[in-house]
Amino acid sequence: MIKQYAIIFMVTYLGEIVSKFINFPFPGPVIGMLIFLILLEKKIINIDLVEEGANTILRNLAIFFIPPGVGIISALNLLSGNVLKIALTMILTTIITMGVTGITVQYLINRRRK
Amino acid sequence: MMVFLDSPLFGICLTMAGYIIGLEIYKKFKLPILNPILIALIIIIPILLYFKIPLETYNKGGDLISFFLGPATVVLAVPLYKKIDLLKQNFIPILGGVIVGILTSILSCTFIGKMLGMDLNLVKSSLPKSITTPIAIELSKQVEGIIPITIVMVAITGISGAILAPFICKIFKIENKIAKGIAIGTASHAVGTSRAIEMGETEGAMSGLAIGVAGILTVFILPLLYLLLF
Repeated sequence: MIKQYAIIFMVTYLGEIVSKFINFPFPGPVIGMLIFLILLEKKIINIDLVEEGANTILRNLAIFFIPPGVGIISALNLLSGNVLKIALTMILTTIITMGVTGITVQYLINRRRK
Repeated sequence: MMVFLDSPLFGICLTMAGYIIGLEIYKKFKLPILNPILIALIIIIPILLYFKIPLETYNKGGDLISFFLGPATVVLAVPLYKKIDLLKQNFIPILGGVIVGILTSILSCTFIGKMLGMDLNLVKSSLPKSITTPIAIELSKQVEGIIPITIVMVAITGISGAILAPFICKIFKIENKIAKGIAIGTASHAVGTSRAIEMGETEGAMSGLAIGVAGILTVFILPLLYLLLF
């Protein structure tokens, strides 16, 4: 199990280093994710070597967002009076985004079949 | 009192307790509205406010937990790798749909937010709201958003997506299973995907795939679109 986490941390570290050397504001963890994907695709890292560790992290992914979320305490003044607006915007934009995405995919699939 | 709090273990234990309670409540009722993250925040925040515990004290432990956001983002490559064949088989429709979806999400957040007279900082915080939280946090920093607000917005988006997905598919006449899954995952990340999995195997797999594809592509699209819009 420790090997699994060692690989995951090394790839994360590699992503962080690479992000400091490129000129695009690309977050280190996302670069790490892309590197990891390439390493898996090219079979440089075998999936069996990391899957268990990765799944353990993914199963409990939500816990890592809680401390940054608690930081909302320092932004409470900005929220007061805006809660309904935020909720309404989130719901409307989700409906629009889901609808437009679905229609686009469906159109592209049907067009290809013709 | 401070003696008990002056340890990283305080923040760690409080976070774990909040998370476990949130998770148990969610597991018991299985309702998207009972989102474990939101429940944990609703438990933890009043405790800190009531006992006048400074955020810095909580964060001694909290920072140790949020440190793992980096590795947690990296391992998103694993589910993406396992589903990448689905992407290869339907490359153009999926890629096209996800890109259109990302643009729709960013533009609709900007215009609806401004129309409702939302504070500009809130509008900026909402721009990465459709994608998975670890990547949304990174992007929120880049577009000068407020990270905790982005996290809550991502959660509300996921909840709305999970609740409304079947109705949205009906209203917009989305009948193709691939289209349904991609739409749900692109608009409402992992929380929406939980509903897509209930709708069917193809829908669930496609929605899971869309989480990773939309997350990565948004990293490219959002900073550029942000320069044009703000």
